Amino acid sequence: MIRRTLLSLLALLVAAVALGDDCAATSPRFELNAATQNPTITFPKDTMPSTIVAGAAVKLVIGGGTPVEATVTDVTTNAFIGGSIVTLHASQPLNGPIEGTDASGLTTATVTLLPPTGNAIALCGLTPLNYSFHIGPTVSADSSSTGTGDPAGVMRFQFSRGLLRLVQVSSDPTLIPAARNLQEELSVSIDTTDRKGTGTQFIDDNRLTGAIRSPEKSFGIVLNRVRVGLEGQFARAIHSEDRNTDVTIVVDGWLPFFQAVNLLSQSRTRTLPLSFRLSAGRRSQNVSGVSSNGNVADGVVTYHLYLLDHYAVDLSEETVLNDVSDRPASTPRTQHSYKAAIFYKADPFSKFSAVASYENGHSGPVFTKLRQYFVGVGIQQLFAPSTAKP
Amino acid sequence: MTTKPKSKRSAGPAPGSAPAVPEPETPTATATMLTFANPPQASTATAVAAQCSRKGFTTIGITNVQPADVIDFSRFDQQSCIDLGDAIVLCVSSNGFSLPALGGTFDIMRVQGTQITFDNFTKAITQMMKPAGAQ
Repeated sequence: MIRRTLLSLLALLVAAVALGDDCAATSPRFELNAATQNPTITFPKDTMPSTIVAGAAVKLVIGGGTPVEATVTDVTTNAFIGGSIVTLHASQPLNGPIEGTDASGLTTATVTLLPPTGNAIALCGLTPLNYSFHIGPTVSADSSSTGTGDPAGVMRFQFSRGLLRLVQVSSDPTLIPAARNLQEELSVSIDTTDRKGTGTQFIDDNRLTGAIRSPEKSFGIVLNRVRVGLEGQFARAIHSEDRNTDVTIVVDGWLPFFQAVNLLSQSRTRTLPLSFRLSAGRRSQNVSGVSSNGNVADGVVTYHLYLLDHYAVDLSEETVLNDVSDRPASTPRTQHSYKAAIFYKADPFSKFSAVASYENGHSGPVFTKLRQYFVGVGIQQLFAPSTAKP
Repeated sequence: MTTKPKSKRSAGPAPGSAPAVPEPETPTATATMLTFANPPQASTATAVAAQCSRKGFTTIGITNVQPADVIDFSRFDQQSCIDLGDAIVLCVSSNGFSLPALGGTFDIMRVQGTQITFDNFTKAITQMMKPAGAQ
């Protein structure tokens, strides 16, 4: 009963969030103009209602709150993708709850546009955390098809919420917002049941995560948009004493010195340079009454390269150090994993499509396989009719 | 609606040239007078678009972009799209023009897997630029 009350209180105190998935290409985007802070909506082709014209009165609903009145001040034809970019003037500042130079408080990304007539339009917010809310009781936690579980009443509670607070640390107007603001993040995720089920399947995964991240900072061609962060995560089962605590320092960014290279290509394709993410910290865990702790570290680098005008290759390597005492015998102290993915496009401006990928190898076999693959495909392409545009 | 600056001209850097130094366009007294006497012209818009686009790509770590280079948005992440858009908008705004926010556009291009030459990229920016205060 106490646990149930605790869950309910938590649910009332904090709201829900899931980290944002990719929005579809057909979803309108919502953001604030970096220069004017005016709310802006990018409508992909054929998605903007005809009632949205300069001077039209609309409303924005942010995070399910009270609608904010706004006026369309500009509609610009989008020269990149078709459609239109609509700039609004809101009746009240929006940069507090959403994003901006002096932002503070809850950042939400569920934004809905109420056009002058017609249905509300869900917008995809370009902010780091999305807002969602989902609380049980919802479904029985026991999904056993045999009926031997407890279909009568094990109630599952699912709840998550993220808070993002942007703290301005630089007022330099020439810097992009991401380089002006320090980020504070807090998220709570609960996925459990009101009591232990009688079946074998049982869900009890609850996490509290906090992080503070520096503004992006670049150092010439050496380091680009580097962020340093301190992250902490506490995971605990409510129905047992199992728990896991991680505290890590994270550094991520790009290395412009390692630009994407083009090999044996007539044209030059450009994209983001080599990226990296390093984290190191301390883990303390208690599983089934056995306590253990130790250092953990993780490093990931990702690189892109282009070949023969038609191929893109994504390479990534991850090294994981797990020096926690009493770790399972099957878990080595250091692990390396590699991934190589190959993409092909028929003509210079068509979209790349994945054709093959290799994972979890080490460098020898991975590159041997790659070479074999390209020899095969290269011969195939040599005799295939070219579909490239002039 | 105000008239958009026309994009005919080529006052920007020549293809393949280094972007650091502005083109030495006859620094005469007449040219200077014209610059001050008139509002931003199409030629200026094109030059600003090219300069600010380069600055935007440099901001996200893509250096020394040439006009014929093909930009592959499919390998971008969302934050890079936002940063690229913000950098270009801030740069254009500080050069006497205005531009709507572009992070959403670049994010859609990322999801679509768009590839575009830098030359066409700057042309698109030029088309969407307006003299400051025109909105």
